[in-house]
Amino acid sequence: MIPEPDPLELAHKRPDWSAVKPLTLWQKLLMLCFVGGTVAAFYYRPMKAAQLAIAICTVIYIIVTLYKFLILRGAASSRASFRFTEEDIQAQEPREWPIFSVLVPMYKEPETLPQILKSLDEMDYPRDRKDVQFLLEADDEATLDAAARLVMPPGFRVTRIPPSFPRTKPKACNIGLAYARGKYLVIYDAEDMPEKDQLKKAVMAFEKSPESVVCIQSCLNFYNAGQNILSKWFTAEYSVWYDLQLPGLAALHAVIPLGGTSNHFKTAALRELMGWDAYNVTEDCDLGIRIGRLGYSTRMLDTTTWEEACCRFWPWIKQRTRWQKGYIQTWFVHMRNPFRLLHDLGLINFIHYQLLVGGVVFSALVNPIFWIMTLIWFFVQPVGADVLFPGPVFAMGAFCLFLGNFVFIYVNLLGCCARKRDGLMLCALFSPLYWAMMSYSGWRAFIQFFRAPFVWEKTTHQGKSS
Amino acid sequence: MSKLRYLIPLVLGYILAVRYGVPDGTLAGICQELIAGSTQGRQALVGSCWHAPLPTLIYLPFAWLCSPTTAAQLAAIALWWFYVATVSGLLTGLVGWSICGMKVGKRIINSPTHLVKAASCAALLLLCGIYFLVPIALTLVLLPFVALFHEETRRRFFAWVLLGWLPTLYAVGVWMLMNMLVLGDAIFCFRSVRMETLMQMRQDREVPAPWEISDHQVVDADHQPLRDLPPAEILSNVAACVQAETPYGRVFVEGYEGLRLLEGNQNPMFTSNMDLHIADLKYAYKGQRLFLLLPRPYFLTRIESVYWRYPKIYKLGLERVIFLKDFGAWRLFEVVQAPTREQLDEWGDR
Repeated sequence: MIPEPDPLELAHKRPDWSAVKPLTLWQKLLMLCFVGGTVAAFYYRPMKAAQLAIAICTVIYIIVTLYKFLILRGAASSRASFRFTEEDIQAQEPREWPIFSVLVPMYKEPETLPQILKSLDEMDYPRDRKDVQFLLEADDEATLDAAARLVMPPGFRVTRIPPSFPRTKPKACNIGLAYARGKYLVIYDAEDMPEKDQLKKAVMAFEKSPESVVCIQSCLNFYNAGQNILSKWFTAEYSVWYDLQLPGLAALHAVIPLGGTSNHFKTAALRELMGWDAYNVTEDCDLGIRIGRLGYSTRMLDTTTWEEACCRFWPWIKQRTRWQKGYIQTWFVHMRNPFRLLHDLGLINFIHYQLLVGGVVFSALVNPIFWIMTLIWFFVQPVGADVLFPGPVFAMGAFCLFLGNFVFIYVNLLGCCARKRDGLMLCALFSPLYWAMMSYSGWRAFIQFFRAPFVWEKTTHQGKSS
Repeated sequence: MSKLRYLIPLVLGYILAVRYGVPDGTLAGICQELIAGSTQGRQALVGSCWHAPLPTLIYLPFAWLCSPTTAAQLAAIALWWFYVATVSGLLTGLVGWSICGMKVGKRIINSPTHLVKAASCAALLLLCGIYFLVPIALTLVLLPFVALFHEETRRRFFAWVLLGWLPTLYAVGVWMLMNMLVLGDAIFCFRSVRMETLMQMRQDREVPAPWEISDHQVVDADHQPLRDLPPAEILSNVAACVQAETPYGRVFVEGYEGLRLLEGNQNPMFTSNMDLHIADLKYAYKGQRLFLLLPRPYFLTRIESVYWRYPKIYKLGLERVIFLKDFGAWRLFEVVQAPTREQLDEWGDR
């Protein structure tokens, strides 16, 4: 008899690694001290405090810019991603392919069910080796009905997720993990369209990589990139993240914050990691860090899963708010014991972690303040504003202006170019507007982290047909 | 092996830096002003395409943290590494293009990645100064042609040309923006690039430089100055001269050459000035007697903004700027001012 799965295993067994409690007592106290100290400094010595704050932020900007350079350099390396050609796959045949479990968590998405079913069925992998689970909430009658109307191919099944708190995707995935039969396991979203040979490539990548590699991340990109300007910006961002940034990190053997889908795992290792944190709204990012903490690693695979870009303003803001809130959650969870984290990850990966997870949140929150200051300087040129920027800080700011901003825009163009999406390059030139939207959602996430840390703002998809 | 690729240039750079790493007076002067947070420092950072921002920005952290000699040595190593990491690739390509012709150039710039690298190097070189104008222009002009040679870049010509030109366009754009914000003139840094100035700079090679003039050489008919004096001696002589005139004097030392002269100066009587606005100075220093100290216009000194704004100032002065005395290659002028209301009231009381 199969024991009843515990979808909250991580929170029960390792609460210190789970976001069940968003902030510990000392983190709360430290935050209070920080806020109090900042307010007091600005009250008693406003000019000095502003100068110091600007200086610290500028130094961080420079570090982040140089870090971006480093990652880009890594991305050009041949060891950035596993690459397999059609011939490589053909050369493997005939062979016995291992059972591959596929988890598809869905919630109120009946219209996308036929699409994902077709995509998975058409994947180039032996039918008897596929173990596909559609993870449907027990009270999601619409999707359950849609599933009941479809003829499931062999190896495809529906797993009902009993309603319980928290109602999150990772909790559903944990139940799916408990019932998975495969040696390897992958997650796809309902609207995903993976490349047909992705599973075979993932198996080959695992077989070619050292034992410590427990996760292979595929690239994600969008099939509806040209829908509007938002989808174009989003595609440019994804192209940079999955085609340059993550391969660059992999080449540097850094911890990799996983993408939401198309991450292939060794099932046994994933169970050892106790699956996903059901309380974390970017459980993928958190899992990527935990993989690093246990001494395992992640590699990139040069194959793409096509998704649907969220191309309406509010749904996009909600999706991004969730992601950034998750990054904040993840940062606080792993920084509960910074020394332990440093010990687990090692110094280099500890720095990677701070710049990747902390840096994303930091820039989203701080950018608007600097943009407003720059705009005021451009248009009003207030007398005495230069006092805020003592010489060296001004020089560092100039460095950021000359190189920093450019690097971030240029990287977007390179991402589009690497993806052979030349049509998006002109739009990518205007990405600062997109960054403004990211900052808005960043602040929204920051506030939501304190008010509703577990709220999962679900992204609605229209499906490829629409 | 890959580590050796970086280690060897670093060691070589260190040897070169220790042997030749003497502090550059102008760079050190700009950094001194920047560290002091003065407006002149900001203006000097972006105000001339001959003294471009990137070397200053590389030098600044070292100047901030180390002694001048150590700073110069470390900056030399940093620049050497920068050269090896980026510019050497571009130069190799350019040598291929210009000496061996397009066929070899095509082989050297044999992939789109090299194209992007060359374009980025061109932009970085631009931020190092106008001395590299020829290789930069050559790169930008040749980029589309090189793009046509490679199958991948030919098929996606627009994208690659955009990638190739953007870094330089951006660098120029931001530089102009900074000029507009700091100096109120978007093309201030490029204004010295005029045929007249360039011709004069070329002619200057026929005239001995101030430091080449020996002790016994005398002033020529064109009022060419005496031999150059050590900076400390010039400043003490000027200070004595001004003190003799008034205890409330202020001397504005002009341009980048002025920053070199003022490096390490502690006398508050001297203030560097990058963007000469006589009326503003009179207003800002009301009640003081103001003096200008100008370097002899020779070769690079000709690009100082004071000379393209007032081409005859060194020889003839201006309407309210009159010659006072020569100090080696430097010439002191006094700004003639009408008495202020306060002075008139004070004199009236007497």
